[in-house]
Amino acid sequence: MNDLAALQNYLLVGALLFGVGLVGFVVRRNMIVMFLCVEMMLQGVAVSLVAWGRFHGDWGGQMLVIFIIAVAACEAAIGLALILALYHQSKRLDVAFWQDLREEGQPAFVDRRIPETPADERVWPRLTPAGIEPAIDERERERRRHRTRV
Amino acid sequence: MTLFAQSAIADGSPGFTHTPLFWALILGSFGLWLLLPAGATPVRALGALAGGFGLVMLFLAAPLAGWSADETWSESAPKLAVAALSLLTIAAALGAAFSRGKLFVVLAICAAVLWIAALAGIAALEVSPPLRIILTIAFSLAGVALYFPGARRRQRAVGLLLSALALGLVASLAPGLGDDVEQVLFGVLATVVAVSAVATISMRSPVYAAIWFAVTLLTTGGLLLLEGAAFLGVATVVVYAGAILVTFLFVLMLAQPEGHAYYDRISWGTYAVFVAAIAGMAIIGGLTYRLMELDGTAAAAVVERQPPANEETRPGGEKHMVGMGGALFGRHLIAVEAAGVLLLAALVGAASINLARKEETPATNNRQPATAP
Repeated sequence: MNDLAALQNYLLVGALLFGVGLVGFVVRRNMIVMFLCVEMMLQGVAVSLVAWGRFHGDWGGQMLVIFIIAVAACEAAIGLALILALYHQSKRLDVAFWQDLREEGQPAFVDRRIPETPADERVWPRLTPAGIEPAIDERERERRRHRTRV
Repeated sequence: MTLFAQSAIADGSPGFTHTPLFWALILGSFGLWLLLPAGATPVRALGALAGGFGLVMLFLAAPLAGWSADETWSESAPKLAVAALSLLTIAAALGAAFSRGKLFVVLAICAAVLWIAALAGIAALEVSPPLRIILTIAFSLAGVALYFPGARRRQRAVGLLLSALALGLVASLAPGLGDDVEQVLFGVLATVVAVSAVATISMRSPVYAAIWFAVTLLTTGGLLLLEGAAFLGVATVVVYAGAILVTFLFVLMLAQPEGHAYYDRISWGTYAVFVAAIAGMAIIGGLTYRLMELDGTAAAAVVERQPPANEETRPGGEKHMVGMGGALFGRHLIAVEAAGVLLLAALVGAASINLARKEETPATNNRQPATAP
């Protein structure tokens, strides 16, 4: 009974990861975040496979997960190269930019309302400076500036 | 697992509190808390005090929760969890009130979410399982629908609350594992997996999404270790968190260096988000329902369970890696070779995609949406 309870628990986590990843893939528009969601779905599958392998006491599940990791590495390499190529075409990571690829006769998707960027979200978060700033002699600084000009 | 002194708990002696694991947990978490950078030194000291108090109370909460000697750990675990989470919430809220940084606010929100989840889970134990699954689906549906990027702050707060309720309901569906230590570790890891997965898809900044995904990966690695797949747990951390995720962050820095973009704050519209949430929650709900129907006979009927030929080299056994290596390079040798070829092909492909690129188009403004055709 304990084996079965463990199986159910881990399958629950696997289902959760898969479902959340699926929702994220459909909902998000940033290509990189969509890619992260695909990886999350793969994680959910891996957890489920290992749980079944443990339940049946054989190696099939874990073998499959090893190959999933290998394929995921290939997928990440190719996918990120493609995303970079697409980015150089469009200068943005928005997947809606490529909606010309949609089926013929489908209406185009147009954003109705774009919320304002909050003021604190306009820049990346800044790291707190670590350590002590060394005291620099003014003459030394002047000399360095001179050197860099040369 | 002599480390955990399983039998000591049963006969009423202190048991778990006298094990190395217990003290490792306390000292490790307290030390980590001290290391976290949050504001000035006095604030950090205060936060460390509050957090340390909360963590110590977390493990001393057993008497508070009415844990008598004849009651086993499993039965008192829900009460214990609620007591500990209440204390943690109070401690984090105190920290949030006294410090400038956002860290304690985030911690207080996390603790409150877990507290609500635990309460909901315990309350749901009285409800019959099918109704519980329906409630789970409804709550998580509404929660995710309200939580998508582009929602307003208040909507997101309501979404957070509903998601916490759904998390508790899902947790109430999971059967007990029997082994107390495994139960506690699994509960912690699974909660972190669920919370960080939801955070990954709901963070507006893609960098934060990637970092929350790293948390998901690390805790998934922990779950795999707990499942007896030691090699896969380590491989997940090394390959996924160490290599793949770092590549993601590099690409993110290459492609989006100037801050937040409009497409991180909007989605495909309310209708599409709603349908996506329905689809996702139907999958989770359906799978959960089937899992709860699963019993030993049905599962055994699919594939005949047979005892492993060698007890030492079974998955999670004494000689785990021996058995695994044998399986990988014996039966699956051709697949290993094929995976090697696949990796080489992917390497060459990724290089050639970027080498063959033509002249770049002139830069357009990243902050403005595409004009409708």
